This record gives sequence, C-alpha cells and structure tokens, in this order.
Amino acid sequence: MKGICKSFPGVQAVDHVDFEVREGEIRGLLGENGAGKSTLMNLLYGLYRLDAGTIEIFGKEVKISGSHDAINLGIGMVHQAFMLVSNLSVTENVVLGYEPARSGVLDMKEARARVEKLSKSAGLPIDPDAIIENLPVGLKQRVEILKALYRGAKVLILDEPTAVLTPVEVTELFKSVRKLREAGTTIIFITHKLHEVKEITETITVMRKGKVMGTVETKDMTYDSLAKMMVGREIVKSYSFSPYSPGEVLLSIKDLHVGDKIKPNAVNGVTLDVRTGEIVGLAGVDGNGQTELVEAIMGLRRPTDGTISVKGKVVSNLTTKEILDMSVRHIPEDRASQGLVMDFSVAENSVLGSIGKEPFSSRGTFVVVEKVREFARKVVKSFSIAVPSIDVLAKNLSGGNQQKLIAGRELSSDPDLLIAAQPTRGLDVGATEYIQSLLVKTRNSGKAVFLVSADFDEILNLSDRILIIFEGRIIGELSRENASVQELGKLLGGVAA
Amino acid sequence: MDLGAFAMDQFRKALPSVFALVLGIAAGSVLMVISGFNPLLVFQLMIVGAFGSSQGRTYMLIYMSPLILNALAFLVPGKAGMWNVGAQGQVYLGGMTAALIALLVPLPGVVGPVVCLLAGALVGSVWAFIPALMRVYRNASEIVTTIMLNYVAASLASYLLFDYIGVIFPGATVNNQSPAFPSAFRLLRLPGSTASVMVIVAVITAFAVLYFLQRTTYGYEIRAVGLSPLSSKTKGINPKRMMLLAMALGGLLAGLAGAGDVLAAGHYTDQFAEGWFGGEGFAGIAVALVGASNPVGAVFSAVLFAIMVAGAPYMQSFGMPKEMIWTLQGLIILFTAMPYLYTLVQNKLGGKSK
Repeated sequence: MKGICKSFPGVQAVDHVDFEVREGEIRGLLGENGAGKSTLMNLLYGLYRLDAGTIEIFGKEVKISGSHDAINLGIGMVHQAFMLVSNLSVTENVVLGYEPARSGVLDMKEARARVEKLSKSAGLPIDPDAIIENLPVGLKQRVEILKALYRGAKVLILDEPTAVLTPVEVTELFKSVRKLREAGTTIIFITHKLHEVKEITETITVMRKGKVMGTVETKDMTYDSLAKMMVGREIVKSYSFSPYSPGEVLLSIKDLHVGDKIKPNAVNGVTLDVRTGEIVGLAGVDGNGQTELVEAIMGLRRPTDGTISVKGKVVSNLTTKEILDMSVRHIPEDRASQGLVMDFSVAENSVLGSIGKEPFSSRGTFVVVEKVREFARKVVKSFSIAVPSIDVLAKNLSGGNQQKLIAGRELSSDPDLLIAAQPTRGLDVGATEYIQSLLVKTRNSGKAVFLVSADFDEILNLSDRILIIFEGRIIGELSRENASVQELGKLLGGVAA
Repeated sequence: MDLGAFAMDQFRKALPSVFALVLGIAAGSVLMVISGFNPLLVFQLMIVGAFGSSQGRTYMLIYMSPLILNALAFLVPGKAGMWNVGAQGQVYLGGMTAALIALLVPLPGVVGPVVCLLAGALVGSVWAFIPALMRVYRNASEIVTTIMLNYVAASLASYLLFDYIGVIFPGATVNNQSPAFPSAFRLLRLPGSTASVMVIVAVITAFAVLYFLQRTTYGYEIRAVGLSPLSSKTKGINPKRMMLLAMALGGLLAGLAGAGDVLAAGHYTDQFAEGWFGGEGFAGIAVALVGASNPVGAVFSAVLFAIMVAGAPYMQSFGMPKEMIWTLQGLIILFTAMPYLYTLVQNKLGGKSK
C-alpha cells in the first residue's frame, strides 16, 4: 500500500501511509485508539474507499472497490464484531455466499466435507454441524477465520482479535495463527496490546495519529521502545498549575466491581482517591472499564461490589440526581447522545437537569423563561461559545462549541467534584486547549477533577497523578514528576509496572 | 422576545405540513379529474356545505372538539416517545364514566357535567396508565397494548351500560342506546347553535397543553426525555416518570373527549366514538400528524378535517360520493407522513447536494 490517504469529516484517519508486508509474515499493526490501524485495514479489505494512494498485490496494482474484490484477491478479514448467522450451523456460515451447488441445488454434503477438510488442513478443529449460537466466543472467531480461508484468503487480517477472548482462548488463537503461518498464510494482527504483539508477531508496524511511525523487527524491540513509538513525543502544552497541595478526599473508590451479563468484570477491583486541588488522570485505551467506572460514579449503573464515596458519604446506591445535588458534575464521553439534547436550543440545553431549580422555575413547576435565557446568555459569553443566538439548536453547533456548552453548563454550578470523560475527543486544537485550560482552572481553584482520557498527551499535560487502567484494574500509578512517555506507553500496553 | 422572529420561526416549522396539505389536495384533485369531477367545483361545494348553512357550521363545531382533544391525546405522549394508539378505548371509558355518573348519581346543574368531565378524564388517564406501566417496567410495546385495551374498553363500556344498566332501568335500553341523561347533565349550548361548549373547552385545552409543554418543568422534561432519553438520564431526569406522566395525560385528554361527546349527545350509544377512520381516537392521530404534532397546529388541522366532514353531506346531495372526502383526507395524511419530501424539495431549490 503506497501513499494511502483517507479522511472522514473532521479527521484525517490515514495520512500518507506506506505499508508493505512480505508473504508469509506475521505482521503486528500497533497503535492506540484512533491511530488509524483499523481504518487502514478496512481500506485494504474494501470496506472504505481510498481518498488517495495505490494498492499492489504481488507487484500488480489493484483496484479494491468492495470486500468482494478484496476476497477475490485473497484478502480476508476477521473483525471485532462477528458477522455470523447465529441460528445456522458452522458449515452453513462458512460457505455462505459461496455455496457448492449442482445445477442450482445446494449440495450441503459437499459443503460439510469441504469444511471438515479445511478445518483439518488449517489445524483449526471445529464441529461442522455445531450451531453458532451454542459456540463460545473463541470458537465463533475460529469460524470467522475458516470463513476467510474458505474464500481463499492468502492474507488474513485480524482486528483486535483478543478483545473478546479469555486467556485460554487467546493461547488457542496464537497456536492457530502459528499453524496458519506455517501453511503459508500472511497474517496482519491489529492490536494495542504490547505483550501480545511481542509474543506473536515477527515484525511490527507502529501507527500514530494516522501516520506510520516505522516498521521494526519484533525481536529487536523492548516494551519501552515500542511504547515510545506508539505514544511518541509531543510538544507539551504548558498550562500554569498552582503549587500542588491536595486537600481532603472528595471521591473515594474502594475495590469497585462493575459489570453486567455481557461484560461481568468490566471494572474488576478498582481503588482510587481524588482530592481537592488535584487532577487525577485515568489513562487507558477505550474498553478497559473506564466507561463503566464513570457510569457507576454518576449513579447510572449499580456496582456489583465495592463502594464509591463522595465527601465521605457512600453514593453507590444513590440516584444520579442525588449525586448531582452533592455538587458533583460530569462531562460525559459522548456529547451528542449523553451531554445534550440535540434538538433543543442552546438555551434549553443550558438548563438540562436544573430547570426545576430556582431561579429557572417558580415552585419547581412554572418556568421563568427570562431567567433561563439570561443564564444561557451568560454561559455563552463566559465560555466563548460562538453562536449567533441562544435559540440555535445544539445539533447545528460545531463539536467544539457543543463541548464548551456542556463544560460551561457543568462548571457554572461551581462543582466540588468534576468528572471529565474524554473531554476533548474529536475537537480541534483550539477547542481542546480551551477545555483543558478550564480543567486546570478548576483544579487551581481548589476543586477535585477526575479526568478519564484515552489521549495520552492530555493525561500527561494535565494530571497531577496518573492512574493507568487495563482490563478493569489499576495497573500502575505515576506522579507528574516521574511520568514519562515511556512509562505511560508501557503501562497502557498492559505491561504492569 | 422578538415577536416577528417568533412568528417567522413558527411559520417555518409549519411549512412541511402546509406543503403536505398542498400536495394532498393536488393529488386528490388529480383523482377527482380522473373520476370525472371538477376539483374546483368539489372544493367549492365542500366550503359552501361547511360554512354556508347553520347546520354545516354546527357540524363543524361538533366535530372539532373530539378531533382536537384526541389529537392532543396522541401528541402529548408522543413528546415523550410514547405511542398512544389507545385513545379510542380511553374515549369509550371516559364516555362510559360520564354516562354512568349521569344516570346513577343525582347532581345539580353546573356540578353534574363538571364532575362527569373530570371523572371521565380520570378514568381515561388510568386506562392509559396501565399500558404505560407495562412499557416502562416490562418493555411491552405500548402500540400493541393500547390497541388491545381499546377492544377491552369497548366491551366493558357496552356491558356496564347496557347489561348492567338494563338491570337498574329495566327495559330502558332501546337500540343499544342508554336512557337519556337528566337535564341537569346537559352541556351548555353555544349561542345560536345546537353545538355544545365542548369546542371551547377543546380549544382552551389545546392552549393549556401548549403552555404545559413549553412553560412548565414537566413539559420540558417530557420533551427532553422524548428527544434524548440518555442525555436526560445523565442529567438526573427520570425518563420512566416522564413517560408515565405523558401517557397519563394522553389518557386524560382522550377521556375528556369521550365524556364531552357523551354529555353533548345526552345519552350513550354503542357507536358514539366511531364515525371515521374506525373511530375518533384514530382520527385524532391523523389530525395530530397533519398538525405537525403541535397543539396549535392540531387546532388548525382539526378545523381542516371538520370542514371536510361537515361539507360532505352537501357534496353528496350533488351526487359526489362521500368516499372522495375520505380519499382526500387519506392523501393529505400520506403526504404528511413523508416529511423527507419537503427536505428533498428544499435541498433541490437551495442547490444543495448531500
């Protein structure tokens, strides 16, 4: 792949990437959330169209305009979300779309025989008659791999394959990958986990913010050197922090467990404190339990074990409203679906949740429109939200202005504890700096800030203390002084300090 | 607030409905031409029939009130994301309640009708609350449950009024019509008409609903929950409570409609809530949609529908089939259900391409 470019509205996902793989390699494609690795492979597999660049297979330039083209060229991909039909059998799923037939009549006996043969030759044992919905996740994934092989995949792309597997299933997967490699298949292994990439790959391409940082031999790399490539070196934005003297504990979480039927151990024993006058940054790649943790703190989810306390009072069993009333505020990770009512105006959004309080309504029932509008105007002015009027609908605001509206609304009540989840996600540099400076100001004025972010620069720039979350646990802690890019990268990849 | 800008804003919001109306009339006209009728003549007869005689004007006023109230009964729950397809049943029970009180409870002049209306509204509210609970706590589709309860309501009302009352007033039910209510329960008439004051009640209620939705905290939270339940939850608003409240209000309005109908008629008949679209409850849905799910829009829409229905007899006397009216109404509703058409035309005219 040469000179590949792909952009989506507002973000350059893949930025002039050259990517070359030798036949029979096991290549790791490493990077954090948003690095561009999945996008690059989706382009190869034909799920996205190239903005620019060329693709060559064995030296011949090819045009891939859909996954059918990719499959015909011998490229197969196994995604994180499986595309199997639950109530059909393994055989039926594997041959789906490429069924053997005798003059229009399905030959399922032949299909079954083929699947069995393939399963044996690829070293991927499976029961061809098993029904998908009865299979454990690891075997479902195996069916996906067989599907790709059945369609003649010579290049197999695995997108974060271990995200849904148990440790035992991961070992099985690695065995299968090695067997496939012996049979001559080329494997591209997309991941953000350092220990995996070290274990299974021969070479690694590291991507960061849409660009390729380099391709290296796995055996030459240490966790440190990989982490440095992954996280990179960025000019640290300097905010002025008042001297660090944290006060009383505002938020106290003790051995917290949060989960549900789908993901029972999303938060798997987290203990942490946040004090006044500090920013505690929870660093971690998406999907390691942060979302569930924040939901539990804000009363949007009940913990399954452990306690959460604010100002010494246990809040794990309180409603969201009661927690908000304790001067806790939350900037949610998804501004469009959790932070704002998109079809409401700026004015209406500014009082979301507080319309029942003085002065916005009298006796909690009758809205005092003038007071609401006055407040909205104040927020717009104080937080430099660029709108022609407060009657503009939230959906017509830019991402930055939407986030400023949310931040402004939350900070206007001068909260004692602020939970900021991915507060600058998807924002441009200007809006990012604005929001970040707000967080620093809040911290300087003696409030407690709990920052949850997958943006390492942000964590490094803002946090007094950094906690790293991985698979539901805190696996390391760094302070502002001893935090370095290397340490952070290592811990983010899952290597406990 | 700038009144001019407000008016412009409301006008802009109404445009898609007006557009659908125009398209519906145009399509209806094409059908008329194909059937051998002159559309201009048809519309002229309709307007003359509705406005030209006191009978027509009376019909209009009589039809307007259930149309407005049932439209409100659909759109208020709609604001919270709840589909109240049970107005028909809520109407039956509201009417039944009013009839039972009128026949069994001796009450003086002004008090009587007021108690009947309030009781009917309350019973309608309870009837809507049941499917609301099922939806909120068991995720049972309220579309299914409200429709099912419509049948239960019809049968229940029928039983209580004809089988039960028949025991108290032996031989009094004739032609599936209850005994006439005592005169104390008759509603006031509008001056110079046989139409009752319900139409005034309905219009006032429409403005009350507008005020409720736009100027009270409950209305605000109902709308927030309907538009973004997740954001509402994140800010501490309880979506379940708002959904229940919205449905209860919907039932209240439909129950009020039923009670009003029955008191205006002076007796209860089995078919009182029927009339078009299989019942006034369902007609209300059509009126609400054409009125852009807005209380004031619903009033204008109800006027439109009332004109069409009131003018129909006059048209018929000239040989035009009444089915033409139903077709016209159906076409207007059809076009209203395609708001995207309006956006398409807007984009084409604006030279935009997505």
